[in-house]
Amino acid sequence: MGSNQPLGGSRIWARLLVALIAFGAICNIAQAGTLAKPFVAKNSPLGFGRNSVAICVGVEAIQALRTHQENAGFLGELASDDAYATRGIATPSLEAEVDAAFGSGQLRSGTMVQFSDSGGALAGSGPKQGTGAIWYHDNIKITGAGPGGATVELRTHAPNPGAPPGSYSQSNYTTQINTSNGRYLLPEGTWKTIPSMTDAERAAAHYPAGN
Amino acid sequence: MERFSKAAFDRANDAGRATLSAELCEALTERLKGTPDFHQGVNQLVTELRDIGHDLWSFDESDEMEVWCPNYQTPNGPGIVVTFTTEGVEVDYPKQAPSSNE
Repeated sequence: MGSNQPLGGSRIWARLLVALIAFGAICNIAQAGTLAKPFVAKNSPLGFGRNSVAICVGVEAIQALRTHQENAGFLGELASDDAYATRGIATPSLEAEVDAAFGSGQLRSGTMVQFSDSGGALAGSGPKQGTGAIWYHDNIKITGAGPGGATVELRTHAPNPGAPPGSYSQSNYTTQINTSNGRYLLPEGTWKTIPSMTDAERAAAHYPAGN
Repeated sequence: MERFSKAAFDRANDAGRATLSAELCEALTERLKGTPDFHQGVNQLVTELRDIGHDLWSFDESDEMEVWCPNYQTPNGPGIVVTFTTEGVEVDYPKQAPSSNE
């Protein structure tokens, strides 16, 4: 398949998801839909506004895709499945894996959080080197986006060497979304303090950041 | 610090744990105020808390904040959650053990 040929519908979303991997799980996306309805990139006329940003929950799917692509190594001839990956296109077998994963209920897609500067100017550090044990941070603060109008801090950071052994956060980039008063956004959409979380929720509050 | 040991928290009832948490919070806040480097100060305090039995692992960190809680990857039961910020310290002990994963 030539790279300039039109892509079938099922491949469009796969290609966009692969692109998301390259840019990380936090993407400037104006609209995120199901995998059958491809993600729509920013600047789309379907966007929510000039400074609107949505973040997809494809992070879990992205993790599965990443694992597959690491195994595939982005190598191979055009005749092979892996040739798709060299062009940033998911392989047919990958599509089947993702379809199966979504069918099992283990993966979800859609908009996780969506914000704009309507509550006030966005703030935050942006990418920077950390002063503690975590070497890299990228932060943004969204005024009024949390429960009760709280300011939300959307933070991605490098692996946390102090995290529990074997945890995802210990060896991967993760994103945390929390209010300034210590409530963290969980994947199912609730905001909880750390003491009120279960162990599984504490792990789930660390979203794979597509590193 | 010995009176704030994990064993002391384990022995106490809810009211006792609340008291211990408040007093530990005060002690940690005071200690942290006297340290020139926030992260180094937190590191020292966490080391001391671990030495008296607390199961503490980093949950989150920024330049102005560190949160430490019990191991959620391989849970060993409930324990204190300590939030250090450049403004002060919070110590929480869940009233109900957050060991249920669902």
